[in-house]
Amino acid sequence: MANELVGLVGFLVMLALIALRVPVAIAMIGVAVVGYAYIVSPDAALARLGADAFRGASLYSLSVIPFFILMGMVLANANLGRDVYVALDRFLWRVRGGLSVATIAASTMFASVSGSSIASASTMSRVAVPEMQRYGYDDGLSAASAAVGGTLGSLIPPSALLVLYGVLTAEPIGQVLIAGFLPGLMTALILMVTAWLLVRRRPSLAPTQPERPEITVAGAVRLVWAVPAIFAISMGGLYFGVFTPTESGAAGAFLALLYALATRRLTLRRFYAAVNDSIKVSAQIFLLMIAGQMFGFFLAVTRIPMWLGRTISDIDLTPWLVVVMIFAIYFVLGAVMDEIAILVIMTPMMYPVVIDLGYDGIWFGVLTMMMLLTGLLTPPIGLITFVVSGLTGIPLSKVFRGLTPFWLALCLAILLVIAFPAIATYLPSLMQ
Amino acid sequence: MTPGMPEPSPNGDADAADAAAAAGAPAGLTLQDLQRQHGDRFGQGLARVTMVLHVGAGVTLVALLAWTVTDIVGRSFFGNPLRGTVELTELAVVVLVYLGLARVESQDAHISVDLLYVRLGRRAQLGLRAFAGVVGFLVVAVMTWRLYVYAGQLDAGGYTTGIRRVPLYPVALLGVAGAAAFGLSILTNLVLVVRSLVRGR
Amino acid sequence: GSEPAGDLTADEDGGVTATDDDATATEDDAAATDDDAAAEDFGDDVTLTFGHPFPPTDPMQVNVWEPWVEEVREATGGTVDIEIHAGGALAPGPQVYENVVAGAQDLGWTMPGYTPGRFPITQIIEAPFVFDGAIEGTEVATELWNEFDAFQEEFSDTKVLSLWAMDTGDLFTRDTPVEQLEDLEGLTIRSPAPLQSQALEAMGANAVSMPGPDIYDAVERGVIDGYKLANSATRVFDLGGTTAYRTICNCYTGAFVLAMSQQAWDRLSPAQQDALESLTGPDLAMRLAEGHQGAADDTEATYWPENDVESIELDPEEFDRMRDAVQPVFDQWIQEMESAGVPGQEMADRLFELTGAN
Ligand code: NA
Ligand code: NA
Repeated sequence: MANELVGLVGFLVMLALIALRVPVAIAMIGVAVVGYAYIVSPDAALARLGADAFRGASLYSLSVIPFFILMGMVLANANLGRDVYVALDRFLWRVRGGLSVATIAASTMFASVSGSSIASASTMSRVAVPEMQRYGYDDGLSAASAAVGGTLGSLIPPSALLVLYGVLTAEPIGQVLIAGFLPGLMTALILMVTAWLLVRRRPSLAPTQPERPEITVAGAVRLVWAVPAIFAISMGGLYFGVFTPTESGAAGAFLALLYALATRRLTLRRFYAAVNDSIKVSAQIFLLMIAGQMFGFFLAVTRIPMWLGRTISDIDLTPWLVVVMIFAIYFVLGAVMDEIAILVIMTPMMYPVVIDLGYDGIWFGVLTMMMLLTGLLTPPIGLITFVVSGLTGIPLSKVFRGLTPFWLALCLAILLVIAFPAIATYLPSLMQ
Repeated sequence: MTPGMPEPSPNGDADAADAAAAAGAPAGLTLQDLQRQHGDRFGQGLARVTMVLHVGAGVTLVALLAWTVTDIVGRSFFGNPLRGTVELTELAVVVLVYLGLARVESQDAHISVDLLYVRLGRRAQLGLRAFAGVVGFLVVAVMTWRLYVYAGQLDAGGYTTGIRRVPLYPVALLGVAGAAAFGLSILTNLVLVVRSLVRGR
Repeated sequence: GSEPAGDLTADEDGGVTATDDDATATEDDAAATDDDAAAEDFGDDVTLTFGHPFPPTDPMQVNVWEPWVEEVREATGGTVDIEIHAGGALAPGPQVYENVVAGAQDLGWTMPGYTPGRFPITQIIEAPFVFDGAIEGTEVATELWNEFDAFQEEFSDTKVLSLWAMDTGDLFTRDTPVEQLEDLEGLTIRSPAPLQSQALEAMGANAVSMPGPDIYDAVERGVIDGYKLANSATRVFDLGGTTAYRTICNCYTGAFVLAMSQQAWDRLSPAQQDALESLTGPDLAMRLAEGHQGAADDTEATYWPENDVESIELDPEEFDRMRDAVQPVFDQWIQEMESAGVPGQEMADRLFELTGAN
């Protein structure tokens, strides 16, 4: 069998194993070892396995991930989401459809520092949706507002997913992280404008204007100042070259911990839960990362990436069409598979192709993340939609209908980043 | 955690699944059901061991945080960073990952795809679990074995870190311990599944 | 190749397919009539895997290894084929040597400095302030290798085909010129190897060990204030833009090794072994050293001026002060060697005698 064919068979077997509910990392490691043994030699495959199991986790560039996760877990366990919403509502209540706009803004802000789409969507479902319902907001719009902002958590730094992309592609991690900031901010604005436009076009979606919230502006600032402060120190330190990515993660986690303990938002019990969850999630991600590296080496000896690149240049497609096709694949996978798994499986194959076509690696990373986050909202998996639907009691069909305009807005944001790559590459270029 | 509040998670499918389950999404047969119905003393003992490993991982994470912050402060304000921070960080991450793995398994918290699983009947779900258990156990057993062999190479070759000359093999052995507990957890869960299949409930 | 193992293995492995192989070999031989090698019987066809952690675009890969693979093929009448897997496809840098030991790959090119603790004796090739270039480093390495059994024993679990030194590395800094020992105080400097870390610390700097490809980001971010690195590698990693100063100090020489697994060596016929030996050893080492030195000279002539890297010539007295500051590191190395039963003192004496560095 030609090596490329072995690679293809291996890839299909891996997908089959995953479909049969074998954990993604286990399926990747198993196929990688067997395939590598077949192509190179069993001795080499076994030697590789032992070394990669150790060295694959022992990379300094990966060490930022547990810190980012810890920062997120601390902030989420500190129940900051509710306060962020209350504060933003104070600033946005006068806007038409203001509750919806505030919900999107709050979930974006909370998800970006906590990194957790699920925590963000579930907090907003419990806090913001009842408020919107009280003022007669449309169910679909309410649910969609709670669901959509959280997806930006893995695009706006800090983001464990962007770090993974950087490690998988050897793009500078600091720059990859910073690259997500402007596109994330832009997308959040587009989503908020979408909500505003929707309500303007159809006032029945938000029939009554709420009264001024009881909290004062100063009180609102007091509630949330820590979130932008922690973000500014952690990401600003990274941007201005004071911190390595790992140090920016440690600084963020430490400040989050300090703030949450000092304000008594975090009891010892919750601190324990935050650490506990961080370990669990870190272990999951690292196992997948080790698996991704092993699978990448397997792919390298199959020479599939080269074959793919050659084939694509032989067909002589317009480069942007290739990119669109790649994203179509991501989109389909995003509907059925976890976004970290897609990232780890697909990046080693697609990245060389995109680079060959002359595109920027950091730009591609940002777009990858944007494609993956739409997957969180699409049926049949769309986890966030389940969470929102379950917690609010709003039927799934209504949630999806409410999401449709936002989903189109996400596509618009993606198109903008494709058309104007500088949105992604401008900030990182200043770091050089 | 407040009851009903889904565990926050940046991207973990497991927590997401918990959240989805709490929120009423179809989750299918859960491992917790099986543990309730068919758990035994060995499983409980192993759960205690994985708990201890998990606490070890948590302590490592917090210690690493303290170390890194001290290093930043020392470097920024006193021009005096801690020696060997980079290499110690790398080793600490290996420790916290491997010591945490067993608990991921014992909580059925892997990143996996439930698309087919949730559409199947109970027996078919058990069948898939058994299959995944066998594959998982084989892969993790071989990985544990090779990690052990690798630890031997590190020991025999006298491998150390570059600055502090910390020997690498004890760290690799901690990895072996974690991987072994991970494999045993998979096996225990596999036994639960098979027991449930045989008993037909 | 004095052992008959090659023949035995070939006979055992050959079996039914032996005739086929012979037929192929004869055809190849017939095709290469001009070649002296064609007359000899080289035995069965062998394909060797050759893995290294350096990029496929590495100058040594392109200028030395790819032609060398051709030469080996010709010298063995087409019977020995070598497949190069660059970029760590067979094993990451720190694992290359163990992979060769285990026979998981047949040939490996790596730096002993990647694996602290594994090759304590070889560190002498990385001694600071000693070698003025790749050629001298390689000549001395060859001398010491031939004179000291202990040095060879450090690699006793493989067949070492060549051992050589890279071009000298100076001390590069981002924005602090280092003109005297005190200038190093408190600077965080990337170190390429364990002995270098100790030397940096002895000079008052904070040493950080990190792989070559990570230097750019670290120095750019100001995580490190400078780095020790082979001069030619400053261009490979394109560090010019991040670097303002180079202190000429012969601070460092990286050692390289080309190792072959014993099992793979035994698989070769005596004729194949002879051919491979004639194309490796000190000759190949010198060819590689010349390649490194050429790249270093070119870097100095064109790359640094283009990137405004200012070279600082050390005052001879200052050089001696630095040299004295790291004397304890030499002493410690000697003491550690002696206590492990290795003639460290004798090796160090010979090193200084050969280089005139002391
Ligand atoms: Na984020
Ligand atoms: Na410069």
